[in-house]
Amino acid sequence: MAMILEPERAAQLVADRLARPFGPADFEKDWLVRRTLEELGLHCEGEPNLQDLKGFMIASPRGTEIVVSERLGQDERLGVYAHLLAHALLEQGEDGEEGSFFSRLEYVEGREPAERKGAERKVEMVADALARAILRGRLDGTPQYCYRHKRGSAARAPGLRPRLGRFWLELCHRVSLMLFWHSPKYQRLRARREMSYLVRRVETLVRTAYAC
Amino acid sequence: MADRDEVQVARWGAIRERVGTCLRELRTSEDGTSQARLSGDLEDLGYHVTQSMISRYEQGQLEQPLTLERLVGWALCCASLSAPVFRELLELAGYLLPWSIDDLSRFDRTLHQYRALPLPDQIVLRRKLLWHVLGLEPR
Repeated sequence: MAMILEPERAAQLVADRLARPFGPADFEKDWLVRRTLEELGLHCEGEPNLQDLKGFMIASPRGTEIVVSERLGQDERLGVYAHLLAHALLEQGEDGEEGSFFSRLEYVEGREPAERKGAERKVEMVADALARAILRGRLDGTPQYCYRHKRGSAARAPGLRPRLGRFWLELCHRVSLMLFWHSPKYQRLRARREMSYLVRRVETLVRTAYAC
Repeated sequence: MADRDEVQVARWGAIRERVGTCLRELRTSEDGTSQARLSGDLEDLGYHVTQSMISRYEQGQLEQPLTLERLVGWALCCASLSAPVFRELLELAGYLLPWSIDDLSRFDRTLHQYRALPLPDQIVLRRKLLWHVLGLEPR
């Protein structure tokens, strides 16, 4: 059974809608994000009884649900939606593969499990950066391989030169992803608009030069 | 008993002791939970299973066969959906869940993860999980 969740599409759509010029006022963002998620088939609901959890996501072939505490303010709710999407993105495999069940709990600050492993803290750090990018409406401020797992679906030009070009691009994206996972400084650098512009320019140049 | 077929009664009579043993194993495996707590947890999920019913189920004394919903609820409250004894239980009762072992292990990991949460959070989460396992529409 395949899980009914397309985190790439959801994250991209949410980011796009939040980024629109003359976009929603702050007080409407929460509504817009929830509506976008529901358009994509994610069931969202408020829950008055949550205490230590801000919210959680459960995704399975039966559907995807996001439950958010009704005690949260609008900004906090936005943060929870973005964080859950970020974790769903990170949970995906290299080729966009996923298990058939995914769940993620978002804790109220200070109520997290005491013993978090180093790997979990790292995932949390990367999810924070991804969530910020979603909320800023600028997913391109993160490495492409963070939010676009299905690669090379377009028709690939044959020949050695295009293959070499694709190799360089792949290498650059992988290095960028690796740095993003390990360095908060790189995360900040990558989030800058100038950096996104530079990355786009370099990619265009390589694609032109290598006809790939 | 009047509305149950003879063959159904005979089959349940043949398996209920083993079913009871499996149910007890489920409850006492992992961290183990008391009958009282299991009854409370099931109640929170919307089941009507008293502590004495749990005791009688485990001793193979109840006349009514267990439904799939009760079996899943029981295993879910014991965080033992991926336990071999739960698979044996499903086979005995003739039920099938469309989940792989890996999926059920993931469910169990989530169930273990939330054990440290306060009860209200646990109830909300457990209910959602139950409905996913059973394939019911969210309500």
